[in-house]
Amino acid sequence: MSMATTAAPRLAFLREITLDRIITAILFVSLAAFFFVVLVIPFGLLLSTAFRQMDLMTYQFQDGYSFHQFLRFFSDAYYLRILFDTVVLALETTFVTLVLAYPLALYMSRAGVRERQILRLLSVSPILISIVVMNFGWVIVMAPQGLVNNTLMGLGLIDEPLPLLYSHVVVVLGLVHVHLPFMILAIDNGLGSIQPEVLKAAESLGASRWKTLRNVIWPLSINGVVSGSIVVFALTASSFVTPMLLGGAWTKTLATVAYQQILFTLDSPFGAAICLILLSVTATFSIGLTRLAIRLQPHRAAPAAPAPRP
Amino acid sequence: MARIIAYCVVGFILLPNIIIIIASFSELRFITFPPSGFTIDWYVEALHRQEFLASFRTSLLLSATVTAIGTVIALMTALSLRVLTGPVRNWAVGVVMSPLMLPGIVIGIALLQFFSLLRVPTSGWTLVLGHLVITIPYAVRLITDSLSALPRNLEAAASSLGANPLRTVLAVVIPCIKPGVIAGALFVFIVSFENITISIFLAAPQTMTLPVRIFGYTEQGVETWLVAICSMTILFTLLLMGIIERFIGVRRIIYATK
Repeated sequence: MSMATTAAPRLAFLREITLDRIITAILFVSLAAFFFVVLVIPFGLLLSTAFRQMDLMTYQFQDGYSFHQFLRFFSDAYYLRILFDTVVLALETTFVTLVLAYPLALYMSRAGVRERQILRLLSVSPILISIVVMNFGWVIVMAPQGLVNNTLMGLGLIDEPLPLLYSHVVVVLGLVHVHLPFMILAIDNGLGSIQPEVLKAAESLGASRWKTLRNVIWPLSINGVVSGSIVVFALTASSFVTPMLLGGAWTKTLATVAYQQILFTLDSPFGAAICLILLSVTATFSIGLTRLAIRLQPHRAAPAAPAPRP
Repeated sequence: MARIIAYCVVGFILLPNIIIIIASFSELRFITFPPSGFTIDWYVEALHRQEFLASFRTSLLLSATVTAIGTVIALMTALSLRVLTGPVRNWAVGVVMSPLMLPGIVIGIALLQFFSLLRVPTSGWTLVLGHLVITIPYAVRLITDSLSALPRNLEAAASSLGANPLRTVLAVVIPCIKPGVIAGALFVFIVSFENITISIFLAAPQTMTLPVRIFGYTEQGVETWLVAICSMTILFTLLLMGIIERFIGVRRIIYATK
């Protein structure tokens, strides 16, 4: 009897092997193959292309691998200037985004449930609308006959329209606008992890609201600030649509140069090399900022970089 | 005070969209703000622009295809990730989620070079593949979120009642995670519909999506009918958001974008 009861599930298991297990195995293998083909291979290809050279007369790859593209980039003041400008633009945008996002996230964390829901929805809504369309809105605001110029002229502050469009300020503004939701969500996340008891404790110990903010809330929300800044910096440094639309032809960033190299000059090794330089810039920023946050807060654990988290 | 600042920031976020909608009713052909007069002529003109209608059709068809294929792949991926454990799972999650970490331009260029190495010309299908790469992670995240709410022994209970694994998934697991799957599908649709950074590299001249087409035109100076087109895309997105809110709640959108 005991033999039969132990043998039966075993046999059932064997019977199951036939179809379901095969389906499962096929599923696993095909999914693995899919992600390998669409993600791992193209990225590996990008890596290897960056170390090749292309004959720009025939558009054929030359034999052999070298650091040619990287030497070309780092020995040319023109490209170094673009690298520098990209970093500055991304830093400015990240800073302004942080300054705007923090008060909103802070207010959201204290608002009632319904109000918080609405504010959250409104603040993520730009993620769902195309960048082009949102940038286009800024074109209307900043155009010679746009909102700002017409308002200033109506008030009699200026006689002629200011050349606002295609200026550095508008590019920063557009980038801040497009990436604000990511910062708000990250800080909102960070603030959400603060226990309400902690704030009550600070209050009962006589801390003023400003002191509570500076010494309790800000340090506890630093993880959100760091991960939001990493995301916004990476997205800004690699954006090319906004700089091209709002900055015009003379605003050059690493991403706009890569875009031009790939689609117009057709120098794919150089384009690939710029992509890798771009990735190293964003990686350096995220590692550097994480280190800085740890150094400033030695008593706290390392803030986690935004890890892939399904 | 805090409230005023918070609402100013929200106003800043909404400003360009509101400006577009208002400016689209202006009577003048060239953009002025505040607009003068009121007319819906530009919407009529926009609807007579064949190239935009073609792009709108391309975008709809693309997003629908990507949603259909992407949701199925994401569902299978999420179910597979649930089974995996240990370092294998971490690796798998890392690969599947990596498009969220990589800038769009890098993914776009990598795929374009991949296709040109295979001598595959850009077409509707290269777009579909590119959009699958960037949208699947969002759907996997939303579906996994729903799955993690299910008790671990649910599948065991189903199989002890005699259901085979396939039937367990189809008749027990999927009905339980339906909201997550629907949210995932809608999110895939929206992300695909609004994308430009990938599309600009993978679209062929005859498969230009709506954002790519708008981008091409904004570089040539802007007229009010283009504002009307932008306004329509905003209203379309609002409609989709309304559908999501109505059926599954916005909490999921917020979760997906984190």
